[in-house]
Amino acid sequence: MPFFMNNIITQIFIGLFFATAGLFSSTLEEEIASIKKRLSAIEAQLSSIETTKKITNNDQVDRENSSFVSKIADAVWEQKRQGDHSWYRKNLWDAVKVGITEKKVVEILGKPTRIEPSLNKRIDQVLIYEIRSGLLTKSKIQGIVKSRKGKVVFVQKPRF
Amino acid sequence: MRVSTKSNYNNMNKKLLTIITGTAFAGSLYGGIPLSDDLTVTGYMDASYTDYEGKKDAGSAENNFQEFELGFQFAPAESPVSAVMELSFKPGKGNSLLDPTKLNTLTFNDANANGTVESGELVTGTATVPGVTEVADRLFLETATITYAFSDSLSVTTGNMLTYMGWETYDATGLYQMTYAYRNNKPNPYEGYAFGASLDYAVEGVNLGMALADSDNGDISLEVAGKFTSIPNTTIFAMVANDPGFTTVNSWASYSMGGLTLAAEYIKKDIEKDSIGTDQAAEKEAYLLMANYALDSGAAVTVRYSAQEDEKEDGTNVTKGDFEKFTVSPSYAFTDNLKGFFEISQVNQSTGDDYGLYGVKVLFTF
Repeated sequence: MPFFMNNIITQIFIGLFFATAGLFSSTLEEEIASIKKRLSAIEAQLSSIETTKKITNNDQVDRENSSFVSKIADAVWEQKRQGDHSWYRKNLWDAVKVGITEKKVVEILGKPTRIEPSLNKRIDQVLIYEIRSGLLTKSKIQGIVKSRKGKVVFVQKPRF
Repeated sequence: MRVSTKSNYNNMNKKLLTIITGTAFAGSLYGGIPLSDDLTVTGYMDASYTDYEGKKDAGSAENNFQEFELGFQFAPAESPVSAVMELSFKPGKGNSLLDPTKLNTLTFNDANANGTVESGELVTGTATVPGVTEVADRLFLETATITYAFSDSLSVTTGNMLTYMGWETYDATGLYQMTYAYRNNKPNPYEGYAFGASLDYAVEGVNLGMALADSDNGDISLEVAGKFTSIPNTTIFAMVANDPGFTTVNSWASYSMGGLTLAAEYIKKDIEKDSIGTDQAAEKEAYLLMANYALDSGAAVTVRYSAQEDEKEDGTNVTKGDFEKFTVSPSYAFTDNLKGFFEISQVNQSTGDDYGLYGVKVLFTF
């Protein structure tokens, strides 16, 4: 084949190549754009899932922590109640009645949280047994014993 | 202030008593037993026999004195609201017993308790009304109060309430002996009940109170009081009361150690001119010294000396002369509910009207 012909055939191939490559190129760009779009969507979804998961995990951790703290608080309070506040037992209060001596009350319930004098002429003083209903709460459980001349004249048992 | 003759006050009592009499005595069936966690019924009954030696005007009023009292205390646990209601029944003397026509108006002919008294009214604040010839049965509302606690320390109370005043209690249940220390001539050393309101502040070792109440003439009475127990075994009380016509200063202190209780009290009343029928200002002073020793067995003995002076501005006596009383009173608690007293007292008065008093009393509480 003469050299001239070879050149023409080569040029035709090159032309066809570029033409085909041009066609390919536009399809590829579209596909790349589509893939990018899908990737973005997937990334967005993934991000959303990760965020949700993160929040869920935090809540769970919080809940677990809260429950843990609460359990510790309850345990500490229970221990405190059993120790410092041994008066907080229903069977002990059943023995505290009008007519018994103030000394006997202290024997049964232990030393009161505080003793207040009373201006009421029928009451000398008020023995107050008091504890918070929980370590983390402000509400109180209270038992009250009022005495006159060393004897109990009024009993208000705590709610058990 | 406290012995009110206001018609509204008495009328109100009469109406209430009519309604609640049935409930009261039905309630006594449960005596001493809490009706519920929130409601408790309490009360007492006492009967006594007293005889005199050498007393010129000894009447029947001090013999066989009895009282029956029934109280309800409403105090729900951990609630800021509580209430107390007490009924008192005192049997009459003489021909007026069970005579309904004599329930409304009773006349006293003794200089110590002159005047007309309506049914339902407490006459003197004590169990003793010398010289009374006729007294009808009396059933009346004694304490009727509602208390609201703003906090553990601060509370307000309103209703028919007892004065802060006095070492000796109003009810027989709080006394260490049978009789009271002082003589009754108006104004009495201690005040009694009145309708009003009080504000109380209590913390460890201290209770402060202020009360405003109605008075005999419709004016307002004021009491300011404090009770202190910061010193071990010791209680100190001090108060000032301003009533229409007179001002009272009252203080007492007590010391308790084991079975021993010691107490001392001082009362001074400055009385304005014409407020109790005197033509000039007057002054009343009263004081007592008392020792009580109680054994675990239930036996106890009280020794008490008390005195009272009523003088006009010019030094002359108001109605009665100086008064002195010396008392020895053994007692015995038979059970937690039943206690017996025996008392011997000697009364000396500057008027020469001296006499001895002998008495026994049984007191049942629930």
